[in-house]
Amino acid sequence: MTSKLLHRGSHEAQDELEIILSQAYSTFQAQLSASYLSTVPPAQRGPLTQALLYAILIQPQGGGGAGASSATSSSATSLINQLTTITTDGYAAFVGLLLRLVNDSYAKLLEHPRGQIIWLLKQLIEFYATDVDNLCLLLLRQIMLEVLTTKISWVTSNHGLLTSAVYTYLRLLPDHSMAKNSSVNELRQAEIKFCASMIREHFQECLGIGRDLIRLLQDVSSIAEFDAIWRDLLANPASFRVPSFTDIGQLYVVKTHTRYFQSRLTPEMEAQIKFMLTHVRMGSQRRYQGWFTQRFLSTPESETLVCDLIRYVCCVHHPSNQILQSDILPRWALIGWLLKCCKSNHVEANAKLALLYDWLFFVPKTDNIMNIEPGILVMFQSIPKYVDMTNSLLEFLFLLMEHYDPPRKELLHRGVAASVEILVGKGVVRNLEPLATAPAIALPLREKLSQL
Amino acid sequence: MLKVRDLRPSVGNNINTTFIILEKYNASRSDGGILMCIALVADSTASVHLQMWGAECDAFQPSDIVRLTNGIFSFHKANLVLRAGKKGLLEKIGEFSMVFVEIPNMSTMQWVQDPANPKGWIPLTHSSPAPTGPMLAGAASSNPGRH
Repeated sequence: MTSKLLHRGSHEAQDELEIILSQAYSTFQAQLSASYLSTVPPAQRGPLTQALLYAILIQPQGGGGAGASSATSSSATSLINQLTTITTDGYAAFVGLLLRLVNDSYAKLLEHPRGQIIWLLKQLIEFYATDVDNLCLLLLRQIMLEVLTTKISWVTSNHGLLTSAVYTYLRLLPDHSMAKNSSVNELRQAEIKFCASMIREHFQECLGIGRDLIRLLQDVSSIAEFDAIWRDLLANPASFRVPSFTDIGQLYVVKTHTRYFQSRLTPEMEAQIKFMLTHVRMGSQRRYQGWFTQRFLSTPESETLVCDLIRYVCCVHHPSNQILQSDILPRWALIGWLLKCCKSNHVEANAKLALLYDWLFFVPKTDNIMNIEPGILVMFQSIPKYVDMTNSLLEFLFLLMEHYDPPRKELLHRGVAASVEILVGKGVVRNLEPLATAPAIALPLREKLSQL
Repeated sequence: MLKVRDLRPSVGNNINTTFIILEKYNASRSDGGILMCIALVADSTASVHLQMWGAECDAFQPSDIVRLTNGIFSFHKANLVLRAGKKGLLEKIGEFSMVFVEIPNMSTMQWVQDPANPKGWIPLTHSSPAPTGPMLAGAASSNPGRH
């Protein structure tokens, strides 16, 4: 029997889900072409939902899509209306079927059902269907991966695109592994494979990403392919076949371009952050922060966004002198709030690393003092009211210096010393006295400070 | 465009102003059974209570930037409120990016008769003339949830 949903190789068995859907469709086909469904017994809802999905996906173009008249009784629009009448679970079951189909078989979907899925997505968004955001994300990921892997030679010749793709995947893979929906496994494996092969085969280009490549690779080091890359980076740099690359320390001193940090924020997030740092006066930020949190930071999965936001604020948004001298909300205050948004220890540690990352490798010739200014100011301004924050950041800084890369401790010490020197030298802070003498700061930390 | 600070109680429906919604309070039903709720809204000059009716209640959320055309600023029961009224229109024109102040609140401040205009009211400030006629007060408490 020819498949109406999926490509099928000559010796390939029919896809299990497709069998379920098409059989349900056969059973209920007659009922679907009636313009309404009589009351459906609960036992039939499941198969009927399956039948409706199959029917909508194979519905010819004339009957579906925007602007179609719903006069045709079996048009996609009337089918979805029928779905609405029998749905009692916020479309959860229907979206669940779609998630499974997109996850398992996206690559094999025929052209027409693919188009219908996009149309369906838009309808389901209108209905505020359960899990529709997951469906949207899954589709995006599938489409992105497909474009990148089918046009691989074009991607690899377009270095900007290649490095952006690597950066994005490395950044997203830890988030995806935290997702409870384990059915995204196959897609994730494909993404891992793509990313790892890009790094190995186009290492010269990936070097251009700079020091944040290290930061991102650490977050995926538990994944086998990246663990292998780590081992080679540390012990066998020659395996990347770039003659000039002999030590991972070379990557530390390369500043990551602002476009990577920018790529992690949606235009709307960026607009709101910029507005806060340009127009909102210090003391008046409470409501804006609440709205931002509600909009972008309200789910557990979204917590990791804080790290991206901190990198953005430190490295991309550099206020003018005029703003710096005004009473407009300063970056350190916004970052203090972002740090407080972290609920899990893991994210909090990553957020602190995001704030202090450029401190560790600061090179006066190439690095920008504006990237490290928020860090010192959060520490200073948190005394005395929020001195826990100062303690926490100082403690973390010293921990990083000793343990982030023990064989290269010297390099990190030099970076932090250079950061302090320029911050004091340019007058961002007069000296470290307030930190070194505040009684509320732990004694061991103060002692270490005096050695800087 | 009228600034919120320049609102004056009046029966006319000629208020054109733009503001951002700060907070919405619980909805209730009016005597006629229509859904009604109050929101605290503001622009860069002042804040005021906006009264919304029916479908308006769900259409607008905190952080929405809204334009009011042909609105009314007058008393409804004990509360001095801004509203669209029958001839006015509330439209969302954006989100988030608007500066505001919460003080003064035009709905909760006190008003005195304008000596220059017997039908007019002006805000009671330090430099206002001593009230010779009636005074208006905004809502008896600053909690607009109570009627």
